[in-house]
Amino acid sequence: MTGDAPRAVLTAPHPLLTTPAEPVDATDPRVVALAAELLAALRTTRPSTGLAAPQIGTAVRLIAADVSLHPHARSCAGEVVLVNPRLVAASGWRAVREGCLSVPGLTGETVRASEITVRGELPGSGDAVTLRADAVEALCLQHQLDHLDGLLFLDRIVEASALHPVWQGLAAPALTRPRPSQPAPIRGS
Amino acid sequence: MGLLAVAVVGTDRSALIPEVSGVLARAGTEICEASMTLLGGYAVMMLLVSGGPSAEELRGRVALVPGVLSAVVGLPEHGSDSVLPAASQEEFELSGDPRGLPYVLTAHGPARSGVLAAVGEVIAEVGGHITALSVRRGGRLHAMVADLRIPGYVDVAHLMRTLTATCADLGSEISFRPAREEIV
Repeated sequence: MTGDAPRAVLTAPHPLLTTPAEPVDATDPRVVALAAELLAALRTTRPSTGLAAPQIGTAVRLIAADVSLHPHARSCAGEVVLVNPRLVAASGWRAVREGCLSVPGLTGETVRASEITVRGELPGSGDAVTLRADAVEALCLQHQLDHLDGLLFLDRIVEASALHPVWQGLAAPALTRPRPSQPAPIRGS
Repeated sequence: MGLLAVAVVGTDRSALIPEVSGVLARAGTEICEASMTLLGGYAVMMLLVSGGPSAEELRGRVALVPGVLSAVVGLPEHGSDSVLPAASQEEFELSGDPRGLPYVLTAHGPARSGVLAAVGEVIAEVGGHITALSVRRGGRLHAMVADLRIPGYVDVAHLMRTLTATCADLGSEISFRPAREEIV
């Protein structure tokens, strides 16, 4: 199952990104291999902090996160891979601005819990694990849990004015004033 | 005194906002409301200003800002007329706030024309109002977020099903949720 090159991250619109993922057996060797693939893919996408299995093309409940390089991280469990994760506690709701590797070019303001508790299983042993996270790690885990439910951050944007393009600093062609006899130029559709 | 609406589209550059607002200030206008965003890499500004010169004179001044296209139009003064339908006391008691309840609608999917028109039609049919709107593209993705006011008498579950089916026909997913509007 493990290939030479890390799997590419799917970008929206893609049906796997809007489809709820299925629970899996954490001790299944195929799940263990997929966990390794997910982690390998995450390592290629840094400074991004997390990935969910649907983002690399497999609709199962498996997520990976690592906020160790994020400058605003507080809690930091290092590289985390969780099978069948579920949110069991959340508090301290705050507005944040987030983006996603699967939604390139856009960010948006959402409301997320700043302190959470997530339970899941470790790939391979299937041991139950409880993770308490705050700040960036909490945001990252909630974002990945949403992927398992077929949700994108776009589905949580708080209001119309909270959807933002990522500023690319690209120069658009200069505008010229149309002559009165000509219709105004129209770009795009 | 009436208002002037000033629309400016220009190549995105750091000096654009100070240049436009400087022209307006030197013309003696006061900026009452303004919004600026980037659309397709262009800076787009909409301003309502009061005071200052006539629309025609201000149009000539704004036109001198390099690299922009602009329009200035005078707006008639308006009173307290409401766009809301008149509601009887009985309707008010039945439906609550005549402005309706606030919701947020997100639709996302492949870039395809007609999504906004279709959604807008469904909302209008139930007497709803789109009060703010953003439409953006990210790669192949077309994302739309709208602030809505939906009358209290509307069957929201039915509306959600209609919106879901309408957008599914156009390849888009939706989410529809109450807006967080906590005025304390």
